[in-house]
Amino acid sequence: MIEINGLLKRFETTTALQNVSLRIEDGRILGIVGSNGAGKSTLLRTLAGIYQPDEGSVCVDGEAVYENTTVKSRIYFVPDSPHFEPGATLLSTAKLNAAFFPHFSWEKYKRLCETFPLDPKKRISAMSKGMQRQAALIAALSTMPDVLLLDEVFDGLDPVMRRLLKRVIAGEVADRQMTVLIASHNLRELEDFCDTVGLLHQGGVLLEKELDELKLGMHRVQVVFHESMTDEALHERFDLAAINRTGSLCTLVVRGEKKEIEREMAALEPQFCEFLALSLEEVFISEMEAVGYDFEQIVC
Amino acid sequence: MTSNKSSAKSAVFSVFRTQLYSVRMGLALFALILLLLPTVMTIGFLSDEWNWIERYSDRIVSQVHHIILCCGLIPLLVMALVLAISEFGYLHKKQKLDYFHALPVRRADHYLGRALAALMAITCGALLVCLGQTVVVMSIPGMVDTTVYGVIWFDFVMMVFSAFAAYLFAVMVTVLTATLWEMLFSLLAVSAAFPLMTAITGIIIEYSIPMCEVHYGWLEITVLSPFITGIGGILVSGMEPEALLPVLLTLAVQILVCGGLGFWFFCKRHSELAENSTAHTRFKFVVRFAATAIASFVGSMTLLWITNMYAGYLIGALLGAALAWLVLELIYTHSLRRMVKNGVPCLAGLACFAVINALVAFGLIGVPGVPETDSINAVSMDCYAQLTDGETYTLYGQYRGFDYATVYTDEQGRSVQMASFDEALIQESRDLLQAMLDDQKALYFPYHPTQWGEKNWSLVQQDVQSSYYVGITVYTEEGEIRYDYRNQLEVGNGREVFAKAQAITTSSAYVQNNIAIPLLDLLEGFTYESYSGGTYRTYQYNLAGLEDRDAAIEWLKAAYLEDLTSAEPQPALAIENCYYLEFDESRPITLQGGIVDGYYPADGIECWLAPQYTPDFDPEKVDPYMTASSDWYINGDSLPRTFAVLEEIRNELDK
Repeated sequence: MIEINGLLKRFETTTALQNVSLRIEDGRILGIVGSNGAGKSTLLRTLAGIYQPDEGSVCVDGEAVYENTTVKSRIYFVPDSPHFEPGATLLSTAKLNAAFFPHFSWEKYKRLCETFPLDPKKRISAMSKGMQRQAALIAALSTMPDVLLLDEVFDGLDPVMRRLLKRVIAGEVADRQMTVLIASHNLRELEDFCDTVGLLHQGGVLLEKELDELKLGMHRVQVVFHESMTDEALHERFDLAAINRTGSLCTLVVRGEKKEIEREMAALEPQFCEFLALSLEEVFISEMEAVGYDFEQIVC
Repeated sequence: MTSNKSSAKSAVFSVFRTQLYSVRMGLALFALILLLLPTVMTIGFLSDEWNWIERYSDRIVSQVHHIILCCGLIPLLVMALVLAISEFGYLHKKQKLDYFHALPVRRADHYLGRALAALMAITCGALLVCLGQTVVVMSIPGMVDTTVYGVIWFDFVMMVFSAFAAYLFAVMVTVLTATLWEMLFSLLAVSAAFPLMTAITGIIIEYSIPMCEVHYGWLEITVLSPFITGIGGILVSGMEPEALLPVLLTLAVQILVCGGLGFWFFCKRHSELAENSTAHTRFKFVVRFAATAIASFVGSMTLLWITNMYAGYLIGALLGAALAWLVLELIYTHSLRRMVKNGVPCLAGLACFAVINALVAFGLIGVPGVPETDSINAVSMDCYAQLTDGETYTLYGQYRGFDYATVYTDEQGRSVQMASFDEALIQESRDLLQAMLDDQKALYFPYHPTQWGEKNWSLVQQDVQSSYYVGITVYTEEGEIRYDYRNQLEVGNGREVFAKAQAITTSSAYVQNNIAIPLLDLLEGFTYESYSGGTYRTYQYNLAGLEDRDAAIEWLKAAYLEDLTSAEPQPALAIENCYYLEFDESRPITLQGGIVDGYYPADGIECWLAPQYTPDFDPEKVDPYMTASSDWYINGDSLPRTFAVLEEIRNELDK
């Protein structure tokens, strides 16, 4: 289990992370979203033991990560631009990892090499960006990490590879209870992959929720009432995240159980009522707006 | 509870293994340079006859020592720098740093693994050089001196120590910087700062304060610059193990300090400092200070030499500091926006220049003291004056070059001057010295480099009507102190000082210590050269033919001494009817006065029995070095009494 408590990280005069607290159970996939400079990469680097926390603690199974070789041997960090030694091949990179990570599995490495169409003896510098990323992931997963930290991992991958990668990671999570933290500024990539999503803004966690809870707890309803209903009246009846009116058509984003909302709506006897699906991005927009933030400015 | 200790050893080894690529590259580069070694050595050895080897095997030893330095140590130092960058340069690259610091390896193991790999490469490199040298030396026919092997392996230790110190210093600077360029600049600034500032301070003192001669030991000024301590230390100290021991100790201290500090800084270094131009502010302060101080010193001296004006000197310091300030801003922040904010260390560098100049100006540093009479064992003195009417020069005093000898005990000769142990003369000389210092303080206080230096140099330009020079060397138990002073006779008490100095140097108590006198004990014979009626004849004489050789030698010495004390000797301008003295070069002598300890072979001494300069000559018409006859020629003009005794001896031998 990963526990982050009151994490503070400063770079000279800039505060990159401030009072960040997270708790991630084993076998979960946490997506971290946020704009550039929100602190996503800093959080991952601190979790990987690269950065030392200025305040607070970053622990895996109760042990601090920084300068702890045993804990770090169970963590693997794949940054947005992975490093490979000069002249390295996938095979030499795997050998290098095998020298440092005690749980490195050559069997896993072979299986991943069969899954991803890469030549292990080809120089990585001669590979495309997407192939380099695949190589980095093979090298990472071969170390059999308990915690996998991925920074903008889907960049440069084609849709087929993205799907394949998600499948492989999901398999590891299911088989070994691997915990995954994945940072991205693309919410759509995380939508069908993460269990939990956290939103980082200006070094702090604005929101952290289970994806299901987010999606199931918020609904978009298009409704036309017989009699005009004021916003105040609607707010009294529903936990509204947003109201949009186009003529007599009201589009409401309502928090709560679907059945409960349906019952309330039925009581109002509307002329027309329809429940529509909300994308993760729309859920976020609604949540952010509800607490007074402009999501477009935070994430985009 | 998790223990990190169990995996520490293997982590160091794993890091060590990852660095083998860098080690291989470093060694390959080094081996390439080493290809030059046999060529250099062959050229060196074949430049002389082979029979040279047996007689001068000590010179081969010396040559091997210097070849090891040129072909071994210098490339090894380059390799040390390259290894430091290749192994610790990852600290300057975010991408690389992410990878290495995410590995389950403690910082300490990272440092140790990398350092061990580099130290192994350096040791291998040094071993390669020394094995190569051993093979080449063994292949020289007739080379019987086995000390050469000792020198080779002693040089091995020196090379390893020097390169280790340089490597660990470079690593420390790499750890304390955020980019490669910053690292190289800092390395240069920190390495050059102390030696350059000390050397220039010495020049400022010598320019500002009369009679001051500043000498710094190599180790003193390079103690903070590991890249040059070894090279200079070995070159300056020669090959004597006793002389090299302090160099070795200094290098050992540098290794410990740089290794320890580098390790500590590395373990404390924050990963986020990579590529961060605002990082390491304290170290930047040091670099800014050092660079600005160097620039102000160099700038001031440059403009002083160009303009020869005090204003130029001060403006040079300001311009140098400003230029350094500008360059530093561009290197560190890539803009000039924060120039004023970052100005404190630069102003501190300029203040350092100001403080040193103030200390010199008020005589708080550099002013020579005069030892107490009791502590003075002997004194040597030179004095001469020259007068010119614009066309000819008239010389007075000892400017004739026959009171010096150069003694050769090895390849490096050293100059030995006539000195007196006479107590009264020591007291007189000391009084004169004190009078000169008082006179100069009255003339030049507060001191600054143009006031004295300008006058000093103008004498060399010979554009003044009269000038004099007095040089006094005081020998004490602690060593010798040299006082040199040049000025115009009309300035201050110039004439009085010169008259006193001339009286001392021509007194019998002083000249009886002439270095040539003990040399006459070794007189074996002479060649008499005569030129008359267009015919040139030479006659060889050997003193063995005399009934009482020793009496003849004493007679000759007395006459020679009388020549020196009675009147100013003249050079042998004419080569007809002169004697060329021949000495037994197989016997050693002790130089008069015991200034030079021990015995020296006669063939290792060069000195002039006869004067080398006339009291008046026209330098444009007559070259003094040409008119001065060969070193041991004597005729009736140069040493009349000595010449007369030689005539008597010749007549005796002719019988």
